[in-house]
Parts: sequence; C-alpha cells; structure tokens
Amino acid sequence: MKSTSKINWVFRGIYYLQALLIAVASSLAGASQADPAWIAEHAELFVKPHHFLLQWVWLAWILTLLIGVLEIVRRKIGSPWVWQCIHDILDAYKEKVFEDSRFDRDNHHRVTLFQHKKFTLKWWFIPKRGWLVPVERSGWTNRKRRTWFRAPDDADKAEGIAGMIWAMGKTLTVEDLPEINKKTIIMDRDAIANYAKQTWVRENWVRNRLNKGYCAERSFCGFPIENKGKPWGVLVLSSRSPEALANESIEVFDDFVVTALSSLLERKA
Amino acid sequence: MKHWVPINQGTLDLGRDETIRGVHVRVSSSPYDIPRAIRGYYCDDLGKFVIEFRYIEDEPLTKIKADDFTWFEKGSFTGRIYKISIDVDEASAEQVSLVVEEHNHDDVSRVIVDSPMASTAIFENTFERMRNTVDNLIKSKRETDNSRAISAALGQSHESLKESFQKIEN
Repeated sequence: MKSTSKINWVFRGIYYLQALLIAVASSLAGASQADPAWIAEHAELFVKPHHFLLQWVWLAWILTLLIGVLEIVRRKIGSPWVWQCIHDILDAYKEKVFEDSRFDRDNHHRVTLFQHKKFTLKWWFIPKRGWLVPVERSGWTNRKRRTWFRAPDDADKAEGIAGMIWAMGKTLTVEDLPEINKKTIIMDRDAIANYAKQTWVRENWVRNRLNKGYCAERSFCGFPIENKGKPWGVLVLSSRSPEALANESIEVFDDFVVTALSSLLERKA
Repeated sequence: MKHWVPINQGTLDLGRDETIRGVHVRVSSSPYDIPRAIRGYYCDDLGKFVIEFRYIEDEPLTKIKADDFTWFEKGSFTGRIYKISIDVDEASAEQVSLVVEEHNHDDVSRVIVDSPMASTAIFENTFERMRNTVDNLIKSKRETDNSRAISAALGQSHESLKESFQKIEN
C-alpha cells in the first residue's frame, strides 16, 4: 500500500533532483557552446570555471538521460495529492456501503484498489508477469498487508476474487462464505477447501494466511477499473460479515466512485 | 433538441446468477459498460434517427454496419455501443425529432416526440428495430460487453416514449 507521506517525500525529492540536474546539464551544454576567446577577453573571472566545465561536457548527455528516467519514475509514482484523494474516496465509499456496520472495527470491512501490472518485480528481484497489486486501501489499519493475485493473459489462470473480476471484466458478488479461522485448519478441512474453491484461490494459500493469524473475509464484491478506456485494475470490497454486501448502495454509489477514480487516475502523473 | 437524460441504473436489473468454475456468484455489468445517459434525435444531415449513449469515459469510435438500415458506432478499445443510427427515411418517416427531458429528481426519463409527421407506428418500428438488432447481437454471441445494458436502457426509454406519444396523440 502506498504511504502518502513516503510518496510525498520521494515525489518531491525526485522533483528537486530533476531541477538540480537540469541546471547542471544546462551549464555544461552552455559551456560547450561558449567561445573561450570571448570569455578570456570579456569575462576573465570565468576562464577557470569554463575550462573546468569543458572537461565534464560529456556528462550532459548522461544527465539528460537521467532526467528522463527520473521523469518516468515520478510519473509511475503519481502525484501525492492524487493518492490522498483516492484514499479519501475509498474511505467515503466504505462509509457508504457499510453504513450499517459503522461501529465495527476498521479492518472488518475494506475497500481495496488493485492495479494490474503486466510485468513487475516482487520483493525487488523476483520477476512476475500479470499480477494485481494492491495500491490503495480504505481505513488506517492493515495498510501494510499486500496480497497479490494472479491475473495473467491466460484468463483461466486468474486467481482470487480480484483476478476473476479482472478476467471477466464484470461486477462480481460472492456472499455467505464459510466461517474459517486458525482452528478450522485441523477441525474442519472441508471448510478450508470450500472457502478456497469459492474464492478461486489455492487451499495452501488459505491455510498459510490463517496460520499467520489473518481472518478470512466472508463476502466480496468488486468491479473493474478503467483508465482512458483501457483496463487498469479492480476495486474490491470485502467484509467479515457474510451478507454485508447485499446492499443497493454499492450499485448506486459506484457511479460516483468510478467517475472520480477514473478522473484521478488520468491525472496521476 | 438533444438533451441528455440520466438513465436510472437501479431499474435496469442487469444482475444475474452464474456458475463460474463451479462457484455460484452474482454477476452484473461493469459500471463502465452501463450508459449514464441517453438522448435521441433526428439528424437532418444524415437523414437518420440517432440514439446516443454517454458513458463514464469516452474513446475513439468505429462505425459498423449492423443491417441494411442500422449503423452502430462502437468504442475502438471496448466495443461499447455509443451510437445507434437508423435510416428512418427508408421506413417512410420524413421528419422525426426526439426530445428527451428529465422528470423531477427521480431520474425517471420522460421522452417526448415532437414531430408533425411522426406517428406512433414509425417510432415503434424504429425502436423495435434498434432493440432487435441489439438483442440479435447478444443472441448471435457477437455480444459486446454492454449489449445487455444497452438493451435494458432502450427498454427503459421505450416505456417513457410510449407515454409521451399517447400525450401527443391526445
């Protein structure tokens, strides 16, 4: 999950670094064009700096390339205010959809925005193709939990509710899932298998999560998110309540959410 | 007149129960596939009766001929139907215009047809042709993702249209 303060810090850092690099690259490019004889005659003070800069002119090309790379990185990260707005929208959506459960704990009902990555690196070194990666989540808890779901080009291999929504391109609602917890792993293995089947994930994956102390959500609803007419990701609502998503406000309110998200994603860079 | 009229999504009833990989789920259209507004008018230049749909996002359009009288304009990326035009002149309608107005705050569209030469029969035929073409798309499995939503939206507007026609005739 993106931390708004970290994004803000990195985004601004890259911005200032780019400004510095542009100034240095411009100086080097300017020095290469300047006439040494004219400087010696009219600006004697700059002869030594000019001579120094001429030795590093080759660096201008590398700096220009670096500025370009930093611009790509900055666009990839997205403006901090956009991510803050997206977070606020998800919060508002959650408040609306789970209106009847507003006194429950923050992490009992969640809205998570997943972005589809054609190619990405997990833990910075394992290459992955076709995954849905959570980029923003409602609330202030469980923000560090990052569960990825497979969504490869071969739609038959899509996993999880998010993967299935991506593969189908439609709104999906799954409710009344079996209640499972750490004890169920030994006491009721069928329940684990049933849960895994109904959420299109592997049994081992469910067991591992339960062993880590995670609670399993009992209802899901989600729909695809597009950017400029092309699939971008999915938005998934999840709840520990088995019927929390049997709510008409999902359909009515998603109009506002989808419109706002689409506008923001277009302005992300 | 070419007013956009919001479509009442709550009454489209696009949800259906399906079994996917052995799991029973509720499936409905993507919010992007459901038109947000509709408008209809007679285009003098083209000599065609046009119904347009507005979505959350716009995209480049591609024109496709559905049959001898009907043309679709679909989104190049998504295949969504943005415009349906029917050659009503061919159907003996000389001048037709459609005025669409919003009715109060309940998002129920009211469609008024205002044309001295228009008749209920012509519009019924035109509308039926549009709906049949869209339904055929669904049946023939050349279904675009939003054909069901379009069919439902046309159905919603059709009822309002009937009411309006009756008012004019009276």
